[in-house]
Order: sequence, then C-alpha cells, then structure tokens
Amino acid sequence: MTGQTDPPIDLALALRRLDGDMDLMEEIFRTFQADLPERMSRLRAAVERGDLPETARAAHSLRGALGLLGAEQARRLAEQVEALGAAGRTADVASACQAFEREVARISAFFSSPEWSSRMCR
Amino acid sequence: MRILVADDDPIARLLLETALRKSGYDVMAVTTGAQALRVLSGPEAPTLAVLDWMMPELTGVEVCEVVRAASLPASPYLIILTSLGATGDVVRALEAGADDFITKPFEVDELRARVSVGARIIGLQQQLNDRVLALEDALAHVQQLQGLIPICAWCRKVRNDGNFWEQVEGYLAKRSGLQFTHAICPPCREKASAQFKGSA
Repeated sequence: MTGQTDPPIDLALALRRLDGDMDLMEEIFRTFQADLPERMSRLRAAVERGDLPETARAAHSLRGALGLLGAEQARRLAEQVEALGAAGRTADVASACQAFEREVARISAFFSSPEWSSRMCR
Repeated sequence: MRILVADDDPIARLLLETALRKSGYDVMAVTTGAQALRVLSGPEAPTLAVLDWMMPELTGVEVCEVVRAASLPASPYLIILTSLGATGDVVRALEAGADDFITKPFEVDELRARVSVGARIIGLQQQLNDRVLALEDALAHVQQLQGLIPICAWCRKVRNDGNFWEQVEGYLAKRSGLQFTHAICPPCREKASAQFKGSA
C-alpha cells in the first residue's frame, strides 16, 4: 500500500509503461506540469459550484493522466472523486477532493525537488 | 499506414501520437469525438483509429456506432480506450462495433502490439477484398461468353446483344480481352491462289 512517505510518482512504473522511452517520459511530465494548474482549477470550480457531472468529468480526465504517469495514489483519489461525483454524493465530494488536492500538492512539490530538477536537466 | 488518435487528454494524446509515430505509423490526432467522426467519414480516411471513450461532443463508443451504421466502403479497425476495471464498458464497446479495446493506464508495448494486430487484420481484409474483386471480374467475363452465340454459317459473323452482326474476333475481343493476329491458313491460301489465277 502506498503511504504518504512514498514518492507520489513511481518513475520506474512510468518508464516501464513507456517502454523505457526516457525522452517521451520527460515530454509527458513537462506537458502534465504545464497543464496541471488549469486542470485543478477546473475541478475546484466544479466542486465549488456543486456541478457534480463536471466534477466527475474533470476528475476522470485527471485520473487517466495520473495513471499514465505512475502517480498511483493520486489516481486512486481522483477515481474516488469521480465515482462520488457520478453518484451525486455532494457531501462526500468536497472531502474526497481535499484529500486529492493534498496528494496533488505532493506531486507539485516532487516536481520542484532537486531530484526531479537534476533528472530533467540531464 | 495512417492511424487516427482521438483523445481530449493532452497527456494520453501525446503518448499515443509519439509512441505510434516512433513505430513508423502516419498518425493524426484530434481532441473530440465529432472531429474523429469527420475524419473517419472523409476522403482518404485512416484505416485504424484509437478512440478514447470519454470525449466531448461524441464518445468513442458513439463514434463506433455511427461509423458501423454508415457502412463505409473501407470499414476502419476501431480500438477503444477504456478505464481500468470497467468490464461492462468493454462489452458495451465491442457491441457498439469496436474491434478491440485497451485499458487505461496502458503500457506502450501493449498499445503497439494491439495496433499491429489491427494492421495485420486490415492487411488480410485488403487481400480478401482484392481477391473478391478479381473473382467478380473473372465471373463477369464468363457470364459474357456463356450461352448460345448466333453465327452466320456463310460469313462467320456473329450476332451481338444489340442485334448487329460483327466479326467474331471483334466480338470476342470486347468480351474476353482476347487479341487476334491475322494470317491465312494453307487451305485458304490455296483457294485464294486458285481464284487469283482463274481470274487472271
């Protein structure tokens, strides 16, 4: 089971998914980093409006991308938000979204870490 | 071979496009189901498409349904991207006319393997279509030559379908593609020679 101390992204898993293509992995991560703030804004706005179908769609889109990146914990949390949104459970969506936001914050911090910077500046 | 990739997620689209291009395919990418449908219904449409299930305007499954209902001259090979653990989705996609599915998150080598299966099936289908066309062509020739052909007992002209009399070589050339060279056989040569001498 993935815990809070594990890295939020399993780079080995991501690289395996990409058949060892390091250039493609770096391009995909760069695209994701550039795209993440807008995607999260879309999700937050949908939750705040109480727009559950749009919440589910935004979470679904994030879930797909996070899965491809090897961010398993975030993918599972996005899946929860999507499922609660699709089920119309307004009260539970907000708390699930908060947990998801915390995990996404870990991913953002990971992207700012020296380990990641050194990898991307090879 | 041309492949259409349709996914509104930039990450998945980038992954699909790059991985398939590196495998030597000619890839074009779109972001909505409606765009995918326009490309698949248009001229020089790709023969294989990888369609995400959840897309704006039309879902990947709806694109499959419309494409199959349209009975396009060259029916494309359609692969649907589904979500992990959604078995019902897979059944629904296949019933809608998808040929195969890939579960997200997928691995690039699985994507390549499934696309190459599709490419092989398209190749076999093309060979089969070519064979059927060749057989239909041959059958048309056989039908044109079968039956009784009225031939003049004196001048050897034959009566064609328009009720006109024409030379037998012209008749056969039009229907079978046969070509004739003209010569004189020995008995005719002797007869012609005797006539020529007699008239001289």
